[in-house]
Amino acid sequence: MNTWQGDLLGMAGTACTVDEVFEKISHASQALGFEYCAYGLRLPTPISNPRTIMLSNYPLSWQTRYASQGYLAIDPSVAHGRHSQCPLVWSQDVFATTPDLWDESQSFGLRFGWAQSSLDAVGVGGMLSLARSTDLLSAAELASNEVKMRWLVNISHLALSRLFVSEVVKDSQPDLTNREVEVLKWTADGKSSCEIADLLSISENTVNFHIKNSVVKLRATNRTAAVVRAAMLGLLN
Amino acid sequence: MHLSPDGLIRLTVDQLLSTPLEHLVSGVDLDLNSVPSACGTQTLLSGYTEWISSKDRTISIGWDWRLQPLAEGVRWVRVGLPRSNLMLTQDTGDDTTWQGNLEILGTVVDALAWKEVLPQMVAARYA
Repeated sequence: MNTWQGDLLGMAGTACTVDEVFEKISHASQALGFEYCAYGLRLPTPISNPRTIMLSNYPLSWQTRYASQGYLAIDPSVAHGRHSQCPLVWSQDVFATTPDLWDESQSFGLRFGWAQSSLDAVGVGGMLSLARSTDLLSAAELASNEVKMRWLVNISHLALSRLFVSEVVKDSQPDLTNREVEVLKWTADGKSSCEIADLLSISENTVNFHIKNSVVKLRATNRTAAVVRAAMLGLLN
Repeated sequence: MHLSPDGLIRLTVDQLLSTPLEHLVSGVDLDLNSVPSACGTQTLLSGYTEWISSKDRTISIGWDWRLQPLAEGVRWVRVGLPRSNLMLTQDTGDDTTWQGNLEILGTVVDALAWKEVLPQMVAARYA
């Protein structure tokens, strides 16, 4: 009999549809004691309006309510995931600033939950939320299962980002030279062409030459857009 | 979980995820970081860490890390694939490919709370 871990490894290495991947994540969540799970994937582009993909087996009425009320924009667990990759256990304190969201999610059976975000090298962010209607998450349960839950976050991100990111990345991996990356890094730090020329012991014209090439390769409109795009795609790491 | 004649310990991902691992040693890449930086350049900090199984101390996983500067603060990032004496087996009992083995071990490493632990360990060693 296959374990849920074996199922997940299979999905990361073979071609699966989004629905098939999410079904395996749901199965794994149940094996870890959570009847509900949701995965949000935030793609790095377009930068002005990043695309977010939501997958969930939450009650449909709650999914509709959550979307219609614009709760994604104010959800404290989502806000936490944007600046920290430490796991978060849901509590009334965490949702203190959004009591309506807390009360309503409780009424839909999403009473006890845990969430963790992930961020990969190409700037794709994801967050897995696990929830259930009964049984508080105890310290003993977390001590026993949290590594498995955190692993589920990583393997889910790997599988889903492969599906969604391929379309983003295949057109966004310009063949920047090491020198172009170096110049873009300095530009990102706010250095002028003249300052970069001094730092790298090259002429200002050469710096501008590298920047122009980078702008073309990144299909950006100017140096600022090129730096932002390169950073979001993880090319400056 | 067993030690094979080839020196590798074979176990499934499920068994590995159920095995408590603890920090053994961490260090900073002194060679790399001892090179004097030019004025105005960013400081680079990187290093290595090794974790072992708490119970019998036979399992070893090590990996390299670096500090990635962010707009606010820094982020600890694993660099490359881990090194280990483990070979993960599939549900069928077959070995995973070595490359696949290391990639899966990478996902397990990322699930450990090493980013929470390492700052204290490195600071304590070089205090």
